[in-house]
Amino acid sequence: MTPITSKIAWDAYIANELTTLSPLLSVYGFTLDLLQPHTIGERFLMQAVTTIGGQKLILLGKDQNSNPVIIKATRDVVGKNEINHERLCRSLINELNFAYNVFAAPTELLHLEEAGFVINIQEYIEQETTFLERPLAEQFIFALTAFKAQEHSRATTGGHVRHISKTFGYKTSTDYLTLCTRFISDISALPVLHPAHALLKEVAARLQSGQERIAQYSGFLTHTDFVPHNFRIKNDQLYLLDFSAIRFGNKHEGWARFLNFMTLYNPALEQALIDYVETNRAAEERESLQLMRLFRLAELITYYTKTLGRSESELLTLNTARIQFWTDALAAELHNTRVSREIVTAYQSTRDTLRSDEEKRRQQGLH
Amino acid sequence: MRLTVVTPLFPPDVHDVANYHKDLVTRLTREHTVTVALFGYLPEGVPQVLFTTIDKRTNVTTRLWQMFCTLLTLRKKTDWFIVTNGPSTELPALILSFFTRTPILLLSSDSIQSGGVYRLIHKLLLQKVQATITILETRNVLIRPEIHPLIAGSASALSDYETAWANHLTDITHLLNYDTHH
Repeated sequence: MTPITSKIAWDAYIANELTTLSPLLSVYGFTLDLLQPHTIGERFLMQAVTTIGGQKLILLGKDQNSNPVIIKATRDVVGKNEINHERLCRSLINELNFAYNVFAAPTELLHLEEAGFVINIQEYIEQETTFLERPLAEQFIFALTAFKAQEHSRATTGGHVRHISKTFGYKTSTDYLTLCTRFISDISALPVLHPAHALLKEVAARLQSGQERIAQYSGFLTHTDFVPHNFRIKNDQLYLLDFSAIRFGNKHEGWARFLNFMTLYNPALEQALIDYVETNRAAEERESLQLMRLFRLAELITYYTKTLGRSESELLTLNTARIQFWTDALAAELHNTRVSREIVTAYQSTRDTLRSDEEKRRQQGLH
Repeated sequence: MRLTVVTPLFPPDVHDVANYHKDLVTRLTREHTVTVALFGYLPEGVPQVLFTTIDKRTNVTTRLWQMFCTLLTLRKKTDWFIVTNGPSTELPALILSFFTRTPILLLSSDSIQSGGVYRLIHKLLLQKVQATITILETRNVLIRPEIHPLIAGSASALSDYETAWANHLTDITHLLNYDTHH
């Protein structure tokens, strides 16, 4: 399927797929909700930068007893592979004995291939409160426990882990450098004088000189998109919603994504986790974490640069502001400092002004 | 004294035994010249310590042979081998014991859970070593308590940890000195 590049085409795609899916689901006793927050707003722009993301729908529905469910469905070949791969990862993670008590998965209610669709239905995890609404100390403990659980699995030890690492994927220190080099060419759409060009080259140079440090902490299981909208907490149990982002690589890749996210959403948590690493872990580990943060920031800038061609009017202005914000964050991180609160606040204000009403609805309760 | 510590685990491996060894080596370095022979790749550094690594990704036979050869080479620069228990360290140490008079201190950090062959190796090595010490009972207190920036820790945990290490090092030093002179 050709990637959908405009909002109008995406809305037409959604309408068409929902019309086809609805009667199909009703045969199995499931109904779709009228409001589908995960299909609106900026959802159409989301395409992974470092993986070939397929098109898939993430829908809300009900079973025949009116219990809420999550429905993942697609007719796109790549999207189908993604759903099937995620399902495989979800089942394999249970074979890693470290993860039993840390990462729970929502119960799968139905998985089928029918009428060209792959459909996967899971229970919806109701949470008492969002992650970011929890007290800071609780957020810290949940995050740290999750990262420690991931660290306990390393592909260089134990034949079984080594075997299943092939399913999850394995990223080496060279892979990070290769990807970063690609980011440099991917941001060519930015104005020639944009500071991101020079900063990304500096990131590549850092990754080059830090190859040994990255390799030192590689081979670990890491969830590369471990951010609040990909997990939910119910009765103090963390449920992972997206298993497709689990892979073996540098153990700080997941940490880095989470910390970069918290730069914007909860700097106090970001600082607490950095303090924890600096107090309790080796200096080499802190270096590795910083290198991964630089890599993930470069990735983020590239991601938003790629959205520019598919954005217009206020969304285009917003994505340009996003690139500037993450460029500022990268400039600070290169000096091992954090972007100033003034810059964060100014960006948040711009973002909230420019976000569409639809996107604001999509964001509600997400983190 | 020139000590060679032989271990299957060392950070960045994530395991209590790995952390224990980093602490042990760091503390021994204050009084002794320490070399570490380990199964691993790019261990976390400790100032003034020489590391010899054997990659875990090679097949079992190769890495056991490499460890034996490493220990054989190191024996002339070693007054004591401190060998942590485990099949991958004990088998090379057992074979080594037939080729050298350098004494071995066998350190039990984990209970033996494997089957018959390892038990036999362990039994034979026990007959060859000059000293043994166990941390099975004290391992938990020898692991540095974490300091959480947002959560108050137990005030006594850190001092218990330091006391446990002081006692542990006294025990080790006593064994090394006693057996060296007898």
